Amino acid sequence: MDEALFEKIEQYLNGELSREEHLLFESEMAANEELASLVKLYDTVETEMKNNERNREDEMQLKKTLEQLNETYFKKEESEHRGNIKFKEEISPVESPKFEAPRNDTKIKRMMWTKLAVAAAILGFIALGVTWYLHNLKDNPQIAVNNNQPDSSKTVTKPDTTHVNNPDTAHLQENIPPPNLAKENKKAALGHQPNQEVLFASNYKRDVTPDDKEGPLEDAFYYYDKGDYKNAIAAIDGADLNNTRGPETDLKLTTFYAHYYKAQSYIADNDVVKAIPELKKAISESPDSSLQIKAQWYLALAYIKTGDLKPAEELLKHIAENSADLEHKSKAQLLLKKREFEEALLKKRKN
Amino acid sequence: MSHSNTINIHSDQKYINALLNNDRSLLEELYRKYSGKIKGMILKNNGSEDDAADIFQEGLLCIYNKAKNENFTLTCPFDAFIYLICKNKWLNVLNKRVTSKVTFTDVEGYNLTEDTVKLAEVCTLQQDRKNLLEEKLAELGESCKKLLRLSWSGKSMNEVADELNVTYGYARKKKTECMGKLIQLVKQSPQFKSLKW
Repeated sequence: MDEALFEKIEQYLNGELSREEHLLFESEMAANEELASLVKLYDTVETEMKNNERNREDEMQLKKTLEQLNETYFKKEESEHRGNIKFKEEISPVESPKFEAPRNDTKIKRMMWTKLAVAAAILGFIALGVTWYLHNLKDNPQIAVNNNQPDSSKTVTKPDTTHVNNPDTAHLQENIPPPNLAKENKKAALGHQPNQEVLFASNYKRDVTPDDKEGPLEDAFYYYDKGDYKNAIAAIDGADLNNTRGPETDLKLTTFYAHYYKAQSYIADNDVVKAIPELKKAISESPDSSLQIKAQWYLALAYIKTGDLKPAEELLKHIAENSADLEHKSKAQLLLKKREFEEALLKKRKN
Repeated sequence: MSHSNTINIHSDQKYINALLNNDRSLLEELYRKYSGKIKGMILKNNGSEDDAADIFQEGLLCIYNKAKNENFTLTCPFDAFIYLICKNKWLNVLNKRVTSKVTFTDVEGYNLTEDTVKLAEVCTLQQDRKNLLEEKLAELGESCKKLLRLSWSGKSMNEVADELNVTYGYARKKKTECMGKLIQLVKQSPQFKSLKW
């Protein structure tokens, strides 16, 4: 990447070049199409992202309204939530008056029909699988009940590893499905999991390492990026955090990162319980509010995973009201509205 | 209703305003009147209800952004415009799914000017660009994301530097570096060429 060139483009677009430099740059652009298109691209990115940033909050509010209206005016596909099996035809006959392949392109039509034939065969196969699956459900009422009403509270305090909390064993008990059903059964298996497992799985995404990795945590970031979490944790434990190059702000950030990425490593390594105290330390040591929100978000997810829904709810409410980090604000708002979250909370309160 | 031209603002402009003002009751009316048609179009063309909901919402957000950023006024019936946009969007999805060119015969019954058709295309393109930029921005590290967002939020680079507790020179240097990374990611993406920057 040519940094000097990008600097020049920035100066040109900001009107910071002298008259001579400006003219020279324009004549370079006139002679160099690649340069001209790069400048145009830079300008477009700047203009469009400025617009986005300005509208972000309003657009998010509008999106919320539209999502509510969507629920009324469009049917939600049930399989997503309930684990019911609903098969969507990937390709259906295309003989609609408003939709057709270009007339002269018979090859495409042929491809369509081949795909249709394949789709029909797959559907037939799936239909057999469904019959088999439903038959199995009938024979196993315990699983059917759990499918509709996951009993989260029971599984949190006393994990029942025979089937509820362990989709893999549940699978074995139900016999091994034909290959075409594997994907759908994965969804169904998700339905057996407690609500909080589903919530955690659908919201957790490992955070990336910072751009600037130089400093005492360099090695830890290297292992973390490689997915070697045990060594990442060891490298954080062994790092001399005071060995930062710059002012006090650097030390504060490094300390935050040490706790934060240790927690990230624990979560990624499936050891959420150990992540909790690290996240708490990260929150109290955070150098600014947006990093703090990030750590709070992961702490909320860790609480969800361990079944501590009350503190999770409090954290999420805090994040949902805080504009320091709009990305997590909207994530928290969405999570709080999730049916699984409400149900799990309700169960917890009843107990 | 149909005698709109390029100067006259169509009475359906109220729906554009409803989007701009997040006016729940007018938006409800908009859904009642227009969502069925889009749903029908998508269901008939290999889509599902979920696809239809996504496409309709994206279409509305596309119009919202256009109106918000460019003072856009509606000169044709709203349903023609949203139909054009949703059709474009759905065609893009179909093209990706079957990897071959497909086409709709026409937007039935509307007398649309070239400008309207063009506008619908631009709207879709802008939104696709926006989505790609957001996607690639998310791939950057935390410090780049923060600095770029701050610089786009209307703050001067001096204010950005203050907020990040760094020098002005460093903030400037870092900004061009981050923009360079972002542009590189965008250019490397397979959609890049089709988005007409």
